[in-house]
Amino acid sequence: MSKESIILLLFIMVLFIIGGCQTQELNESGVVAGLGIDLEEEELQVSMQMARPALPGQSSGSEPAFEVVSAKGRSLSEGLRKITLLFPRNPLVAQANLLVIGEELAKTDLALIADSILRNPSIRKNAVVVVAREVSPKDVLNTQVAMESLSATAIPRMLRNQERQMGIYQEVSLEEFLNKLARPGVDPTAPAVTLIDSINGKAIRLEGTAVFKGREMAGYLDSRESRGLRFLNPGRIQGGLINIPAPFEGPGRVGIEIIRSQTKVEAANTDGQIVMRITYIGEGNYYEQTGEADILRLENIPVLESICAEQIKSDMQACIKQAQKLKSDIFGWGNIVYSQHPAVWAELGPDWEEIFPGVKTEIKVEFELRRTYVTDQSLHYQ
Amino acid sequence: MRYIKNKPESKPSPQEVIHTDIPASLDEIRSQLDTLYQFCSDIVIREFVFGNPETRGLMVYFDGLVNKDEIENNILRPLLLDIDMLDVKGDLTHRDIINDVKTRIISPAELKGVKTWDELIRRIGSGDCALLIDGYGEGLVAGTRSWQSRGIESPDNEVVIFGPKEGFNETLRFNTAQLRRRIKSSNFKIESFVLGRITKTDVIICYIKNIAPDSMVEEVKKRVNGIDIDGILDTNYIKEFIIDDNKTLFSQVMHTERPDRVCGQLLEGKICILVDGSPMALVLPSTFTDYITTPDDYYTYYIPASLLRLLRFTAFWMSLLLPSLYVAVITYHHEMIPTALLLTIAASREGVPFPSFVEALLLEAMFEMLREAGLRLPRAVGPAVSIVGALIIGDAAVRAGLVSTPMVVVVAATGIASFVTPSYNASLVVRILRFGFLFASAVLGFLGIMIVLVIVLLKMVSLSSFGVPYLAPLAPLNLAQISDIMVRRPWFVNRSRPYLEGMRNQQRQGNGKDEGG
Amino acid sequence: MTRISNSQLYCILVGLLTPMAFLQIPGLLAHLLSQNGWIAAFIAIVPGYGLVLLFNYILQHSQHPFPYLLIEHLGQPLGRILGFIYVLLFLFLTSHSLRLFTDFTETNVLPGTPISIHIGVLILALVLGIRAGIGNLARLMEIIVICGLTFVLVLVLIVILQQGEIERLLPVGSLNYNNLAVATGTNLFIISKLFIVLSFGFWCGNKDEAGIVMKKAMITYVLVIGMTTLSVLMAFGGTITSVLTFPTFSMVTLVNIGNFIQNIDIIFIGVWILGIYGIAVLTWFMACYSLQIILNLHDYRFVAAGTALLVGITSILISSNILELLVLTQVFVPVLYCFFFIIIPILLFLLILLKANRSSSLESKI
Repeated sequence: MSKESIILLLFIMVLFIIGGCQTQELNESGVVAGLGIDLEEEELQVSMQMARPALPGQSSGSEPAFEVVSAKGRSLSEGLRKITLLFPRNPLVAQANLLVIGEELAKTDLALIADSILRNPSIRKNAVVVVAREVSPKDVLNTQVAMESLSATAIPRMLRNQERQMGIYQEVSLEEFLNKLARPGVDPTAPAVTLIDSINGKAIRLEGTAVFKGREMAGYLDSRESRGLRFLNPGRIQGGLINIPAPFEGPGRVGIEIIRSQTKVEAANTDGQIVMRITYIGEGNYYEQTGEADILRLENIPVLESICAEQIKSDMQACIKQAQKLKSDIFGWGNIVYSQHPAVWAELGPDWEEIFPGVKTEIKVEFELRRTYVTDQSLHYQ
Repeated sequence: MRYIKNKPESKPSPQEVIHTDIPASLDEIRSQLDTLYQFCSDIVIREFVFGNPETRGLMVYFDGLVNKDEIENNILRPLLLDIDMLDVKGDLTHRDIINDVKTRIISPAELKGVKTWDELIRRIGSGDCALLIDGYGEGLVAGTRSWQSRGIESPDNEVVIFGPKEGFNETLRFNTAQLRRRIKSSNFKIESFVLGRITKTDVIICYIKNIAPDSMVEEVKKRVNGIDIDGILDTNYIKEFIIDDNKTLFSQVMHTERPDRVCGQLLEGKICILVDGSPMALVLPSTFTDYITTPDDYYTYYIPASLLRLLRFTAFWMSLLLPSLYVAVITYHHEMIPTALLLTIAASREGVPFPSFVEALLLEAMFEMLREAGLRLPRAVGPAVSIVGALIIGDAAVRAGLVSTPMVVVVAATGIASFVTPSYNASLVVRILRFGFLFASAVLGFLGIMIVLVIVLLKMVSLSSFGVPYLAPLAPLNLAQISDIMVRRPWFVNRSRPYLEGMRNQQRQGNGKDEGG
Repeated sequence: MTRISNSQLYCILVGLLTPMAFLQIPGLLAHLLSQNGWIAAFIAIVPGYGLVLLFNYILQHSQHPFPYLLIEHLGQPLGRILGFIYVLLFLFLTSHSLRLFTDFTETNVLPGTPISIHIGVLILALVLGIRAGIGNLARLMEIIVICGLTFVLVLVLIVILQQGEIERLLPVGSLNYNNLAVATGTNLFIISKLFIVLSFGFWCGNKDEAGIVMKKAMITYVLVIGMTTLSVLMAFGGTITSVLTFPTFSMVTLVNIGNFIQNIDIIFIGVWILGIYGIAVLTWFMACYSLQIILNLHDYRFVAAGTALLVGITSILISSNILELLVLTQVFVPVLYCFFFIIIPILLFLLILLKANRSSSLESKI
């Protein structure tokens, strides 16, 4: 090697000896799987779900796979760092893929934490955001979930699965959440989790969607309204199930699986009055019926389709009603007006909060049935 | 004890004799031979008388290097017995005896006259026998070489699945014969040199005229001629003298034991150096490309060969960077690892007393030792060592909590990857650089790795092997040729040779039927 | 002087323009134009082409590489003094890019390591680079640019496919024309770094082809920056992008590959180091080479070690905090670019034009 390389090598060696850098050995660090933040007595309470490192083969017996540590601080970073006063290891916040926001904090002011979250390079912006409904984030993190060692990995997984299977709530990433928080003409939402009683003590359940109005939480959408929200803003994950009353006489229900949803929203400006024109196009598969009627006939398909469309439309309307009641533009309609009619927006923008509750909608739903899975006729019980 | 100071100067010293011509008188020859080969028990000097009038002759050769049958049948028998049957009836009066002997009497296929002791010594040293006749200051050297040598075996170090299995051995002539058998063109040149003051080793430079650039051939000859050393025992002696930059780890010359590989390279305009007594051929110029290519590539169908080359390329980078990347990631950049994986790693690191870097260094050093031990050990013990090393030490270290399991996995994977690199020279470089990267990653994490990488790259682009840039098709970029590096170009599109500065015939297929160029 | 090939010249130019801009410009454009930032990125191609013509004209009408070119056109004392100022400028630019980079790594990668160590290590690597000579640097740049461009392409594609939402670019139009001008200008100042072609153009195979190479490099730059700005805006939208210090970097943190490889920012930085290394080594080389010509020195390579201390100290003292550094980057450095890489070349161009006219009129008189 040349002379320079030797000098460089020496330089690196010297650096190594004086130890110019901060290394973080893994066995001196704690892996933070989930982060919870709440407001308690004017201070921010930060809770971390620390995953206990354990090899898959070596089950640690009765010990839970995690430990929840929490500390209070007057700001988020203070709270995060105060953890070190009671925890011997350096928390690796960058691993956190769940952020649980306490209801109290959400209702007070998100500005308390937003700046810190955006600025802190080690808080992952693709973490999932949820709101702890009527419970404290600390308890959510402290709950054991069946089959999963950590609630912080379980909740995002639950969100993803239910969206494909049930199609009620939508996963919201921190980046999306902050983005909607900062942008004019759109307000953020986040799915809510709560604790319910079960045989083994407490269990986690997804319950409603938290709706924010600006920096504060305004209220919740129930599961029907949440479904409506998803119909209005379908994400990347397709799927879901709707349950409609049987089209003919009788008490039966019919289950339809939604396989594709697509929504187009246009803002029409008719003499100063904003009308949102919403067009939903969906496809579904016939899944089940609880009765024994001979539903699957060619002439019945349009009937089924129109009932589905009605159901979807009413879900949407319920959601819109609730959002307008809460005065929270969670659909980003303001933004749509801005992109489609910048001139109108310049006029209306400042008062959008007042205008939004009165915005009229025209909803058009097209729904088509495609397949019927492995049977074509239902059973005839004889 | 007293030293005898005034030693009688009756005889010249051997050193003086060497540089003189062979004298005419046989007595003088005999006495000079005795001086030269004093204490040499393996020399055979046979004096005899032949013809009419009786002429004295003398034969010198080394026992064990010559074929005695041949000497007997082709030289001694014609001289002593058959001479009478010639038309001169053994009458040598007034005749140029030596010329007669040379042209009419003795019958070895290879015969040459030499005039100096220097040359005579060299020739009989390589197994020829010399015939000296009274009255002529000239020796006749007959090619009677024949000695016990290793047969042509398949090379241990460069194993191929398909393709020829022959390897070079220690006898230069066999080696050149193997080359000549493969390249029959008269443009295939084999130039011979003698190097080494004492060993007087035969060295040959071979190339295909018109394909190998003339300037490069001249340059190689110049550098080889410039070597002045007492002995040449292996091609590496020559390599260290002739490479462009001798302050670098990167090998600029390729070693190979395979004649087919040498021929393949010769056809690309490269030059090969062979040394008597060594089965390793030097092929030059050699660039970074040779680190990842093997002859197997060209004997296998091109699609799997290309994929294998890709695999080898990956393995090269893995063997270079894996431990340092691992150390950098687990000491600096944890956020890159998915949580589940991080937890597994963390669990196995729990309770390990060393910092990750020290752990990696320990295991790497251990691995290198095992590898070196495996090389030097007798065959019978080798497997035992690898079992002890791999299983017992590795497993025990993990159980004792001295090292973490992922680190063992990483080091083992690195080891496997380093065996994928076909060239031993390359794997040597990689093994050394790996430690450099490890240090850098411990100090500055990924940043350190990249900075060292820049420096290594800088060194590599600055290197050249006989005027060919080291990273040749990549930097300077040559789009036409880079495709043959990333994948193995199928033969039917491989129309031209890799370009070398000054190459006269670049065409491999089509365009004129000119054989050698 | 060493010869470099056309592709090497291209790589050198792209390597000098792109890496730093890749990090800064998207944020800056978003700051000025919000979701329409990408328009400014692409519009710059028009004045950029003008610059290419300008440099090419000067190049074709000169006999010696810059900075000797200054003496050729401006005469002995003035040209030499101006050349010396350029030396200082290049040294300053080297220190500036070094500092910006180390500040960046300091905040995002290795917090806690003293900045002097970062700078020290980089300077060592840089000195080695200059000692290797321009021929070898050109080869290095080839590797760097190929790796870098591939990486950027893959990154942009992944981001657009994974995170991109085309609605975030809406509404197109409703531009603030003042800001558009400023944004295009900022972009143009980066393109003006093509100035170094006045030196490098003379060493490449054929001076006449330097113009085409320059054009290609400029278009590559515009495409890279345009695509990056687009993808950043599609991932974050205008509002967040304008808040982020290094939006490109934040964009990288969003990427995940197969739900397994995530937070690949460190790989991004790794590749980016190569780019920064390219920028710093080229500007520094320009300083050393100019110094060699100005002071009639024997070899520029020996100047490297001498100026290393200067560069190191400057880059440490250049600013005391990151906001100051950003102001420096967004205000002071563009002014420098504007003056030295645009205004002075225009003056040179006019001078050459005038001379050419005069000589041709002289000829016609004879």
